[in-house]
Amino acid sequence: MRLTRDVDWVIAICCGILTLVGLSIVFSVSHSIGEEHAEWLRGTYFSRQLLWLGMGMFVMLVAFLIPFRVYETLAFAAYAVCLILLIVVLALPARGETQRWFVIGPLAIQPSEFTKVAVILAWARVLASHRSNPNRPRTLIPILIMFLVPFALVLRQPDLGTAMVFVGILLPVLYWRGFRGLHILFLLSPLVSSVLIIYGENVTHNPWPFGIFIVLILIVAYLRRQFLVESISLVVANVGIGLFLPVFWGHLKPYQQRRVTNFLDPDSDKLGAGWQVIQSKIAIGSGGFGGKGYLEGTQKALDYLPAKHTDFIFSVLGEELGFVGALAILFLFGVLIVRTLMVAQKTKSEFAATACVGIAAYFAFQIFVNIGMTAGIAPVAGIPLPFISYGGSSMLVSFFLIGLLLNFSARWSEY
Amino acid sequence: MRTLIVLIAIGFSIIIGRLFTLQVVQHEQYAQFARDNQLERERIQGPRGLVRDRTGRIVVDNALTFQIVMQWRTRDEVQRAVRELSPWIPIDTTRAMARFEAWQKRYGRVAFPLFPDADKFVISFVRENWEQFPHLRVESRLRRRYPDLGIAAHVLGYVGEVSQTDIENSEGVFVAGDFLGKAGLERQYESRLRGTPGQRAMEVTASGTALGEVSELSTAPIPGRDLILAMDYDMQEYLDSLLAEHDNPAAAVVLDVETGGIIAAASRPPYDPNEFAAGVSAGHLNSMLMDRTKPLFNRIGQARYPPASTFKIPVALAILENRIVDPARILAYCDGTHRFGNRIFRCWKEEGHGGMNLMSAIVNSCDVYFYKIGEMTDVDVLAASATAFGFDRKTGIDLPTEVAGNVPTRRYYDKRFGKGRWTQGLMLNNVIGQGEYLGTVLHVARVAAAVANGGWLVQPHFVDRVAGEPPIERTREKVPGLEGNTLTFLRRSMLNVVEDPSGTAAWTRLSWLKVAGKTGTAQNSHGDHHSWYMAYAPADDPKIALAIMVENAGHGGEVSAPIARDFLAEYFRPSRLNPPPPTARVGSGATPADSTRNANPQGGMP
Repeated sequence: MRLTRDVDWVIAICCGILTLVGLSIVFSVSHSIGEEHAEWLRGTYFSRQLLWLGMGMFVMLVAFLIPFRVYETLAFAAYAVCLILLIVVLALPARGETQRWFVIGPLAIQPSEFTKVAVILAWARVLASHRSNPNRPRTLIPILIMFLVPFALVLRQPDLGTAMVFVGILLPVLYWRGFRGLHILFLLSPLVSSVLIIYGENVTHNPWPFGIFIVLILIVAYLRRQFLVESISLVVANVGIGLFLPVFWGHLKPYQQRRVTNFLDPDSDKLGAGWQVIQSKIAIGSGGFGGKGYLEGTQKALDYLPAKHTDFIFSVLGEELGFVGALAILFLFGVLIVRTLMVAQKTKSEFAATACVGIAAYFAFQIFVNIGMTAGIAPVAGIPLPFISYGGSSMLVSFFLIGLLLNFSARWSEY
Repeated sequence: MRTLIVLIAIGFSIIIGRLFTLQVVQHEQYAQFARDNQLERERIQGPRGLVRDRTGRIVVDNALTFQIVMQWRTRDEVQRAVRELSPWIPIDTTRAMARFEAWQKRYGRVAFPLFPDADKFVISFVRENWEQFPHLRVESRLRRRYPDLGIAAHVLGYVGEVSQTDIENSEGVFVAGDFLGKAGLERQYESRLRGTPGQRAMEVTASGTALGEVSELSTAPIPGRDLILAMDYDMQEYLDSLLAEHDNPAAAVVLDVETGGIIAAASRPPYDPNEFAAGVSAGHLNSMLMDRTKPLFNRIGQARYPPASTFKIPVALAILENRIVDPARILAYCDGTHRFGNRIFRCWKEEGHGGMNLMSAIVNSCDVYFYKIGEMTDVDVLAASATAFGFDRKTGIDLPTEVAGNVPTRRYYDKRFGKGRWTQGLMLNNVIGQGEYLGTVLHVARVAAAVANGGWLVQPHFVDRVAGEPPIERTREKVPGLEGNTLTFLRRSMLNVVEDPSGTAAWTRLSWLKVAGKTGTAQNSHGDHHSWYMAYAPADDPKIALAIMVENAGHGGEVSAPIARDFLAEYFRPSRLNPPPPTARVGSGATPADSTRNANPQGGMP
């Protein structure tokens, strides 16, 4: 059968190995927590992860078998459903200070995870239609609106990390479809400006990085002065941010300001994120070249890392499997991403190609931010490590995306 | 395509470079950390803000107490420790284990406070024998300390241990064993009172020796903000003691007529908030909940009673404003009864009052006069007057739980009985404050205050300000029509209730202080009548107003009015208002507890 002949087995194998590694690390984490409670924990984390895995396999199979034309048709509907879910989750009573979850029986579901997929498919559909050109407003404006609505809703939860993922997917996808560098700069630079201003004002107390950035922007605008409108907009946007962001910042409540500065600078949150990062660095660093051996990690048992089975699972991996193990994992992820981009080149469908780039960007972004966070070089963002972290929504989404990739690779000749 | 791959390659290189630095270049350093030294952190409670009265005197503070906590992994470990300790320290093994199981169920695997309130002996024993009991640790903590005898208990409220849900919902603000305000001002002002915890990070060797503090990871705790009450604590104590002379459930509130600041307020019977701060036992809590007199029920803002004859003041406003009758007219000859249709309505005075006009009907609290008014007054006209006095809504007091009063309107009756299925007869009960009208002591006290201050409905409040914050805005609204001749008339009537020999509170008259008052008797189908009294003083230059309700205490004047008299006599006692030179009052503003504010809340010896 042609489906099995052309399917990209390398992707499937990478994903399989990563999942097995993830399961064993989740088991190892459960294993370390007190003898008396081990049974109970294994009973929840490990067996629940198995349950999610089972559902993931099923979702993957479904994603693979349905011709991808169907996804293209349903993309907007899925996007709308996700938006509704995001709105509903905001309207529900808060679980703690954040509103990210639906709880159905023992399972918690995070609609923002599914929105990532819906956004990829919806953008791919818009960009794949012939006559689409991201450099033209009639393509770009719908795309930006489709970006801003979920971005704002997720920010509102508030979940800064997931909101950033949307940016991380959008830019590569637009670039793939021929979006000009100047335009990318136009989209990206306000974000950089904001970060530099807030960071400069509240963390380093040094306004110069933003000043230098503005000078760079001015230089670029001058060099690209043949695109007059774009250049002027670029300067206006960034100078505007410089003028108005401090005012807006002053209107935020102290706890909201703290949330942002803690995100940008985990060290400032010594009781929470900063402490976690220190513990994580000790765990990873003490793992050394060869690691302490599976189930032999000591740091995971000592100070209770609240998220060591979810967002901080890489610290346990780094401790037990060492630099070699971490390299192996990164290699598998690297192969997965490169193979995904190869599918994008091979497939004849513009929709499939664009979606592939979005999926590659999704995986790459999650991997950078998650591992960077555990290694102390990225913000503590609450982003799970695909295939490895404990967590149902992330698992289902990752497997669905793998199913899609296999689908695209097997049907490469379809339009 | 190539650019994307290059970008991804750069990202991967950064990650790999970073991991190489951590795991290969700096490996020795981190391995050392992991092997020999551990980071231990200790959370330092941020002291909760104090509560002070208007003179700055401390009403609620924090006392330094010590507890012995145990790090444990299994239940057997705890049991063994308890068994090993029992020959040396008196400890009830079964009870300790029962507490442990409750703790485990509540918080999971968190260090267990084996002795929540350890005395010197236990502390020194644990410190001396730390090698034998390495899992035990002495921790200091601040416990909330409230006035004894349940004084102002319902006002101040209490703190209690956080629940597992509180912890989960707080994103790290709370940890097991923390306290938060559960009732009263403690709950209302929780966000201001709560201190911000700090932490002390220590580098500790594997053998348990502290190497030193890691200052980059340590932060100092920040104390919560103090509350400054409008309360006068001496008068608060006195009010509680006056009410304590009767066993009856009661509620009382005394407020500043201009600002609405509450000088004293009480709800009886009281409870001891200190028991909650120490961790109340389930058995005792249950007995309080089952108690028929409901000690935990806050009668100040939550108990609604028929306002009874105190309501004759709002009725009189309706009469004067709507010109229902000429106030000077002798409307009724009271012979003790009034016939409406085939029903007999009785005056409280069986032999009758004789000829009554509005003034004498208020002074004598003659019901027959008001029954006549009831026949002539529209439901909504009276409701408008009651609404003007705020009976239909909450008073806006700064307590977490308050109920509105009740004002029956035409719509209310139509909804309740059906259109046309009720008669004017209901109004005969309403005009004497019985019927469907309901209010708390706060509502009634506001009526007295409004007459006293020239017609302003004030917002009652306990907290005058939060230290270090701008003053809190309080609202004030005009009672329509309560001015000019109407106001003068109502003031004179209330004054005559006390000053006129025939007045219902005449026997509580003070020769040196003019008091304006109104008695009330709320009929109670379940038992003896409730006794109401509202008043303000001095009548010619009003400063404070009060409302007192004593449940099942019989007729209005009998119990409540003398309490008010004694309170006012003490409040306005010349030697209290103008105390002798301050040298005679050294230390009156400070209790020994003053020092605990700066007490070191840390602890944590091995």
